[in-house]
Amino acid sequence: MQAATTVTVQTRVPAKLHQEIEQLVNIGWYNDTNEVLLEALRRFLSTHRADVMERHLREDIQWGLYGSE
Amino acid sequence: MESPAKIVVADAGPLIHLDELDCLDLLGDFAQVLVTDVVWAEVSRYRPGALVTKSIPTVKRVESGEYQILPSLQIVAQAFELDPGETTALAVMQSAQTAILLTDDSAARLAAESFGFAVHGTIGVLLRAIHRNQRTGTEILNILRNLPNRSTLHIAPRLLAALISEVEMYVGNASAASTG
Repeated sequence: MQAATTVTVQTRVPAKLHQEIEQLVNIGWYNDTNEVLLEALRRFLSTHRADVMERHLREDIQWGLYGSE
Repeated sequence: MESPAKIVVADAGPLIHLDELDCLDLLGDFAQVLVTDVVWAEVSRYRPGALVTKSIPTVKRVESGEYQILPSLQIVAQAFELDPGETTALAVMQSAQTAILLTDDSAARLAAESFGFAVHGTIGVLLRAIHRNQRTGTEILNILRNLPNRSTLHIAPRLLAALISEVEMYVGNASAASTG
């Protein structure tokens, strides 16, 4: 099986958030920071897909402009 | 002015975003706006005094401890990674099922939909203000055009442009209908 292509992304996170990530690693829920960030990103992206957010906006337009409650 | 509408349960996002846009008063048109203590604290952290100094008579703070978080909600909250504010707002919704949940969080919105709840966001409240005669179409268009500079509510530029076009058309049609 071919390994998935990966890219390196550099970012800055608030210290408090980093502490919470470290805590999850230290108590053994995740192997390393990378694993926590990947899981968090996957979960965020699963509920913040562009088509879902666009549908929500369309529903707001319909309700806001034409809705009768 | 038409009669007041439904009860809404507000998450922190719309309260914060409406306050940023000087539009918190729009909530006064709902029969009641229920805000859990957890959401209240969250709003107070980001917009200190918003819910106190700009007191809206219909806004009512409710104690989240009075609303049981049912196992079904616990599971959904975990699956959607909801924060405590969103979870308590949904707990209130479970006992007021004909209410509307106001949230700008996509995950919270999906979670609400999974229970069959009506759910809308800041944009819906802003647009609703036109036909509820709380703001003119022109005023709402100005707010939408300045949204990226005045609010932390994020909308993709392409979608915001489409939204503005649709409101322009709505306002134009309404104006033509009233003069014709």
